[in-house]
Amino acid sequence: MTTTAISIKDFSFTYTGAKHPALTNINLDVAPGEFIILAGESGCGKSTLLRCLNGIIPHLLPGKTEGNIKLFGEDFSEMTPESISKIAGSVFQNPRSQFFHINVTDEIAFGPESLELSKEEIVQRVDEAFDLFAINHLRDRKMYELSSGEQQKVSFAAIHATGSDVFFLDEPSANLDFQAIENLKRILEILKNKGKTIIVAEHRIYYLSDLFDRMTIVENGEIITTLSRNAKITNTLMQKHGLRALDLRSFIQNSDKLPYESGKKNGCTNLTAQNLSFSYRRKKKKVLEDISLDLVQGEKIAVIGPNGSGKTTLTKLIAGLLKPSNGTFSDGSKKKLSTRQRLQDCGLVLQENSHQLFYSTVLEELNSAVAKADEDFSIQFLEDLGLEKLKDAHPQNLSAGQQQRLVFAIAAINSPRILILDEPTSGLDAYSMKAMGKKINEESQKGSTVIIVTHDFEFVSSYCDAAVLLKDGHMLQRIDRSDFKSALPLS
Amino acid sequence: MYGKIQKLTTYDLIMLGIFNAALILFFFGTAMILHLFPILWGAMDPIINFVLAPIFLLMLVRVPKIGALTIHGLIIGMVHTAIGWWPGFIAGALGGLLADTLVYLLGGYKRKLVAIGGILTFVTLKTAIFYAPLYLFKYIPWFNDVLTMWPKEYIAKYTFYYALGFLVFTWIGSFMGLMMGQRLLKKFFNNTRLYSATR
Amino acid sequence: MTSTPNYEQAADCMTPCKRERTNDNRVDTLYDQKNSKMNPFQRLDPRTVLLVFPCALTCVFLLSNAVLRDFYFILYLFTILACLGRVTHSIVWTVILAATHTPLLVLNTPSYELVSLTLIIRKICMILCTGQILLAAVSVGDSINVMKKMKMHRALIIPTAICFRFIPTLIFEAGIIRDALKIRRLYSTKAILMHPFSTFEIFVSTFLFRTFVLGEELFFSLSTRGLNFKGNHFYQEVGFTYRDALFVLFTALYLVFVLCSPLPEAKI
Repeated sequence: MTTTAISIKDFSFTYTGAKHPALTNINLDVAPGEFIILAGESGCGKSTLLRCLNGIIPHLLPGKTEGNIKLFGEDFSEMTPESISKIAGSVFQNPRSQFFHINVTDEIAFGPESLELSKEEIVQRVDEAFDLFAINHLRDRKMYELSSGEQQKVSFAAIHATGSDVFFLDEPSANLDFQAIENLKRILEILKNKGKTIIVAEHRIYYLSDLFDRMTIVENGEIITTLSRNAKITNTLMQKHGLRALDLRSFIQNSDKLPYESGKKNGCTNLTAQNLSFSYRRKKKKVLEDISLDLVQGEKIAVIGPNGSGKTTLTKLIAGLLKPSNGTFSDGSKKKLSTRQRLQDCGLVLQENSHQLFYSTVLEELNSAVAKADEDFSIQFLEDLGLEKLKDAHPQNLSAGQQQRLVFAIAAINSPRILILDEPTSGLDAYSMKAMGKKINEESQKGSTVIIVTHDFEFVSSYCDAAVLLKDGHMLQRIDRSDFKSALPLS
Repeated sequence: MYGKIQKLTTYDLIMLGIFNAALILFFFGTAMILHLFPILWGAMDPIINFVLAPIFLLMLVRVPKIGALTIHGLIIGMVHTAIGWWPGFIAGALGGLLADTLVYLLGGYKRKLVAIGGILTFVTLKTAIFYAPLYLFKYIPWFNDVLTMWPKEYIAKYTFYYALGFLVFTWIGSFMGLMMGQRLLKKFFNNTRLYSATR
Repeated sequence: MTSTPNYEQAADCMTPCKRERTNDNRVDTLYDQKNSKMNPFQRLDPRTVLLVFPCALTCVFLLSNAVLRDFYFILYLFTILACLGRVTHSIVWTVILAATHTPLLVLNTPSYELVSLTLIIRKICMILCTGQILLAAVSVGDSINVMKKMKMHRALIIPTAICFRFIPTLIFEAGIIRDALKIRRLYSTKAILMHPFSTFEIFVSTFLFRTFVLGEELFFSLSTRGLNFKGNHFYQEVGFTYRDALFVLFTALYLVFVLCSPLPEAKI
């Protein structure tokens, strides 16, 4: 009987056509029931390692492998993705694209049905999965009706129903709001208590602080160190490795000063929203009610709140994508602003980067956004962002980080009065988060009000001047930076 | 000369499924918009086929295997049945099968001209079979009674050549859409994972 | 050590959270099937519904042009729609039918155009109402299970299941792309009228990229879950029961009544 669930010996991997290996000399042993975090900067090889473990590499993504991986003593190279799936299951980042069925019950039952089990066994496993994850209220619901967090729960239940003992999770919190992350934490607790082996590749690690056994830090495709939970892991140590904070509360407590001088110009208002209300057609319930807001020049303001509180709707109203049912917008001189004017004055960066890229080259993309076509200006802008070598590249071929810089550039290139960013730090490591903070600060120095819709309190406490807390369509309070330590809603 | 009949892998079937979802979405989206303009009702089929043609082309670039159009025909046939016009199922199934057979005989979807020909064949055959029942109504006794109420010169207009003209316009609409699809491939998809992976 | 955010009542993980971005009612109405509180057809085999209604429609289509017989069949369809909670649809069609057929009552010698128009409207009403019933009464999930049970080839089951499963997702994605285009001022009435082809091009190209990426992500996800259709047992069994037999019998008898009974012909 093997004492290791996963055994990786001298493993290296190079993608087909790549010059450099993505993984070099990986050695890792994972005991049954262990909880491992794979941490590291973007592009370090965490996701590649996970893909090597769940069979995507080399069966679905070809490449050159060296070394050896064993799963409960069985050689990986002799296993197909189907045979791996009987032992290990994977939960991916985007819950919207993971499901085969429309119906929750069908989705959870799909795995046991495919295993050719008897009807009684199928019923038992499905009912057990519903009970274990407390999702009986979701029976027969449509998958697309569920929130991201609920979809994530169904994902776990579906994998659990197949009888998997190992769970691979690739940035499971990337698309989740705070509440869903709390639910995710509870799910992982349940799985850990059941003795499941869990390997998570993650940037936002704080919610795992009570769960993990070991943290393996990957850099440039190599494991540089492994930290045990029993060791004293401070935020300073995490920062040293380019990682996000492990203790979020302590991080916020120590974030007094902004890293850069604030661009806020008190007394100069870019936009004032007065008594805003909004409800979607045919729906009686108001999504936003009686919101009033002053957006000061150069201010960096975070919009925070639980899912369904109206954050995205508020930003769409400000940006001119929606018309308010009631209320008005006016500029600094009290002149009313129409929807069209707001569309012209605002830059909005949505959470999904690839949805915002429409042309066949990076330069064309930027040129289309510039108010007055000037190729030299666009190229200079690209140089500032480190994208000038990619000016003729197809935007859809860029990496996630490069796409993010590009869509930010497109929104900011005309120095809009209001710049709105929806979850700009989702999936970003610490270095990228700092780079984003720097860019946002540069825009605020030019006089733009920067609105950031986020659940990332690490970013809020590091870079924002204020935060606006929404709940159920109402603005509960405006929190100034000096009150972050006490007023940011942490448990 | 004949094309190869290759097995459709899971990847191919998933891609077919998702491209069919896109086709159905654009089909209904275009139809709903056109319903707002009664003057365009007669041109609905050519316009819809113009819009769908680039997506067809990309689907066959991604899954250049015999059987792709048959599967599409069956799925769109099910959709037509769900709307209430079950002859649409026969239209889709037969159109797809015949188009795939023709493509097989001419060398397979990897040849671009053959792929374009296959799509045009599918579109034309499907439209013809879809609307064929309207021309078969004349064999229904009560329909003849209704027709006799109309002046003869009105009825004479809707001859075989009227139907042929309708098919020709549908064919032209689809052809123009395929030319746009070619342009999309060259301009927007060239050197991306979507297009270069298949070459 | 735990420092996760906490927002009072919203922290109830049992409460289904609404998707913040959703402003799309179309998704709900398109797929309002099994979860509708009023779906008496939930327990019928999908094959029964998919066969009975098109057959009934075809029979009435081919064998009847009498106004009263057509109305009796339409009344049957309206009753079914009401049982499925689609009362609005029935009301709209009732108004249209009343508006178009009232002149037939009033005029002594209605013109051939009016007679033909009312005939066409009755037939279209039958077709569309049947379609509404099929969409509302048949669950896509059950249909997929029936296809599996019938041992249909995976080449048909997988694309069909994925096609219908992804339609709501693609509607959602299209909405995001449309918003992104609006922000860039590439999507407006003016842009569509002045540059219809370029607007269509940039929308479709981004949409198809997303389609492709979603397909790939799904492929990876399903591959790691061992997708196959080898099993012979299902969690939710579908099959013919006495309810199906009763439903078929009732519909058949009603059709016989509609088509063959000596109904008094109205003046119209």
